[in-house]
Amino acid sequence: MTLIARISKNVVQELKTQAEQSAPDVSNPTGDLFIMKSAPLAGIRLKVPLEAYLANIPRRPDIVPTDDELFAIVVNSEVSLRDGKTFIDGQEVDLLPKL
Amino acid sequence: MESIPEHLKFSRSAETLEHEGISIEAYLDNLEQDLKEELERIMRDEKMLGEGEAGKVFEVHASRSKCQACVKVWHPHLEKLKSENYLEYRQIQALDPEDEFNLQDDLYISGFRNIPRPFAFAKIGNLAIMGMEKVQGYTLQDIKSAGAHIANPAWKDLDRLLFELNISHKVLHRDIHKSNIMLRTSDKLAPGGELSGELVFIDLGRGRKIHGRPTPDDYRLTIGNNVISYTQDKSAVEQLRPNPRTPDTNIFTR
Repeated sequence: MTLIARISKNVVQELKTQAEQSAPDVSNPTGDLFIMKSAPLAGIRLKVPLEAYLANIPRRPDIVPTDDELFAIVVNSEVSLRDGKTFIDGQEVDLLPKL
Repeated sequence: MESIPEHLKFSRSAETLEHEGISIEAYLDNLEQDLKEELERIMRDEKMLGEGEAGKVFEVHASRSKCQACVKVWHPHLEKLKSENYLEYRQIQALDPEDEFNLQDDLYISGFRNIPRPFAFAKIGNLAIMGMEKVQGYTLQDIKSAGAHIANPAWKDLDRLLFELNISHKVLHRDIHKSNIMLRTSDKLAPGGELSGELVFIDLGRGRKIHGRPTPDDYRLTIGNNVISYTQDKSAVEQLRPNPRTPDTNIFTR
């Protein structure tokens, strides 16, 4: 069985521009979360190894590793913030768990 | 070191990860199942926006973002068709789904914004899917069928857009017809109504990247001795004009 999951280059490019121009929506020692304004996606700039990150978050089809050095993770779903918590499609998901 | 299974390919490539000594096998182990379940949910619960020879498009709910999303799901039988009848496959899908995603992404990055913005691509076995911007508006076919018409942009703007696509960006769509052009608009569709907005080309599955200026051969696909002329059986976009040049004119199949 072949499994391919890719995030478009235009999305990663815009996340990089957003990171240059604005502060992250959430930041902690695990990483920085940037919620895209122009599309229902978000990017995570990891401060921990990818392997450690993936071992500590709930497995979801919309959390996609990328080949980009800066944004190692893109959430291919709408991410929202409420009371300091992160939600994907209305479901609470801790996208930056303390490791 | 645990190695990444060869059958799992991510945008962060297995080779890169392996080279860096990173194993994400545990994460990926059941991801395939998750993706399948998510796809089944979309196909079961979400509204179908359209269906063509190559696949179906479903709406994906996104409440906060200004940009709405949809998912194109290619018909799974195309994979089988590809191995059994390559010519017929290429008539439906000139580009493989992943190449269609790449073409759309490259075009968007190069500054051509009159296409839906692609977000992500996935392939699980013989199921290929692309997440992209949902264009708010209607196809020219919808507009014609509803008895409405476009006040703005003008016909010459379609000419200009096609010139930009073909000459500046060196991409031929090769399947331009009334159902593959949308008007991006927030106006409501009503009989006799006038709509204004922006033209958007959808479905680049028969597209082609070219070098230099397009030649007549570029608009066709030749496989062995077989020549495929795309859009040959569809009515001309020009027929939307008040006075079409001829009933069968179809110069916009490009």
